[in-house]
Amino acid sequence: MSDNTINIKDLPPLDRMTTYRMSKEMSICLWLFIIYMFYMFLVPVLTFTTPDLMKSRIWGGMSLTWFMTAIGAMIMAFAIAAVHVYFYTKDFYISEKVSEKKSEGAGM
Amino acid sequence: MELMEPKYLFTIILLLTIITITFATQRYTRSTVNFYVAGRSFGWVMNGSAIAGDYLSAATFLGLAGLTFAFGYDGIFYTFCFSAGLTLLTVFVAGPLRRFGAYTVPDFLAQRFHSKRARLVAVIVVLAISGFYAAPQILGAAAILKMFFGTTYKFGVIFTVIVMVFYVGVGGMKGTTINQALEIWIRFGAFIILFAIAIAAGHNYGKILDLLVSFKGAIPDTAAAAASGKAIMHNGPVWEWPGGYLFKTLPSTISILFGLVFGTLGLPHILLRFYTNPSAKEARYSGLFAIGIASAFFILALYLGTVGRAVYVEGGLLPHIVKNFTTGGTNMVIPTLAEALGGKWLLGIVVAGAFAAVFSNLSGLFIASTGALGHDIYSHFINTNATEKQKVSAARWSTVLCGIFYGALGLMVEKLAIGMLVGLAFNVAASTFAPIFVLGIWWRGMTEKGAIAGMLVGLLSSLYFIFLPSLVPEAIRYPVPGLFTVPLGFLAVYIVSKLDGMVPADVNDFMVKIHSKEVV
Repeated sequence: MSDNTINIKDLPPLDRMTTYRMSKEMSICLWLFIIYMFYMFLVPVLTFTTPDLMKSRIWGGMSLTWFMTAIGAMIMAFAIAAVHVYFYTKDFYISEKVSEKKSEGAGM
Repeated sequence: MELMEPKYLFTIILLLTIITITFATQRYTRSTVNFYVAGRSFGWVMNGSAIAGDYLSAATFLGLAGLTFAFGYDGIFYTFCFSAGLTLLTVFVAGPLRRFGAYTVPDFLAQRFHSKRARLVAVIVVLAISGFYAAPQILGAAAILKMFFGTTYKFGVIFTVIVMVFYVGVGGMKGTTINQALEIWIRFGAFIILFAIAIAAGHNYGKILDLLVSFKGAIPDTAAAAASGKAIMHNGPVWEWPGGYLFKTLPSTISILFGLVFGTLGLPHILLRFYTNPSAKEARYSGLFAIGIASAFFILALYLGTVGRAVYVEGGLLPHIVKNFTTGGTNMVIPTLAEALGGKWLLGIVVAGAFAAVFSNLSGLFIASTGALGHDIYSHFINTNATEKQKVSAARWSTVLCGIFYGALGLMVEKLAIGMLVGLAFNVAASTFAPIFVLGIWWRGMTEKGAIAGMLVGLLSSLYFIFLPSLVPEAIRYPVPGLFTVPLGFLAVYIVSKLDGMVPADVNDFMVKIHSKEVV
């Protein structure tokens, strides 16, 4: 192990900007993760515990559980990732504008 | 002339294209940054396609439809689990990992802790995951060669390894990425053509499921094709519901979900793809694009597996088609359906697609292992003062070593089940690298000892549950033991880090680097 270690109790706090960025991104990630995992675990749990509901037909012979597993999950995967990238991009452009304004102010 | 048979023709065209791309990109492999991460030059379309190519292996191209055909709901549930991994990877890991900007997966740990020990343990884990993943891919390639071209299993293994050593050793990451991107579109194209023909033939999803759910009894014409001489039975209500074949209980179902969902977060050949983007923004878009391709691919695979079953149950097929469906195993469902719906030309495209799947996935595993040997072991343990030329040379020799290693593994696993080996690879990845990357990126308190403990606990517990099932109580003996091993891996990192408490003095700088705006 490297000798250059420090006890976590003596570690100085992170700078405000990084703490803000991390906490903001983490909160978005966690919310998306919770929503996504809720869906992913809900499908098998409902399928095993409420078979009557999950056997209901929604398109010809396609049951609700078949739709949620074979089609809904794929749409959900893309939607969660797309929402995440949307928030990231929005935040990225805001950060860029703030930086541009700061550099314009410094140049005046 | 036999070579003008579509299956030969398309496979030869594929091989010639690979050779051309590989030679054309050879000049981009003269430095380590070009060899391992293609100069970090790929935009999101190319890299997203390559990520999808890496992720959607032969097991997905042939296997998922085959599992749906054979096991109905239990088959589609496998795909359900696979579909989640790339999303979590994009959300939690892609951007920060790219900002870190290293060459290999062990680089992350080594630089996070300035530790050679952590690098060495990470190399062992990379080789374990890649080995468990590569062996079934080689097995699949040899089986495809045997099935369609009548070669021996041994020849299939050697041929595949030689193609891969050339592909990665000569083309490096640049050639590999372009080939992977091309290959995913070959597979996707084959699926779209099959889908269009199936729809044109009137195979409406709701209608065929209606037939399959209501049908109960002997499948027509199968008695003559089956080895036992008895007709194959189809039980609609069992086929469309979980528990009929694979997932007997809710806990075992949740366990598979755990292993496969978190597994993608730790697959080294997928993780290092994000290093090839020029920025974190491109890395996220690459992930999103890959998810889009993979999601569409999964929906099509499951639909085609269902169409295959409906065509089989309806009857009226040519005798050799019935025989292939009956005795060909799950991997033969897509080729047999292609022949049934589109004749030998469509079969030819599907065979080329199957090779594209094997090559694409294997090349990613080769690159990951080559980096672990050539970059992490050679440049950091054997010759720390190596010149650029020596490093590139080590990378090429590492490719040959990986070829020998994977080839030997491929020869050893001929009789094993592909699904078990792939499940093992995912489970080891989920229990080792997934905790390390998630906690390493988001928690300053992770220590070197915690990381090493997490990797070792995750690796050993996975091996114990899978290779020593007789020592595991029967009630918790699951095919993929992620429900136990993934939390164990996370807990080991957390508890040991809390007890240790000694973090790198520059951990704040590391966090600033990976979470700041754009750092290239």
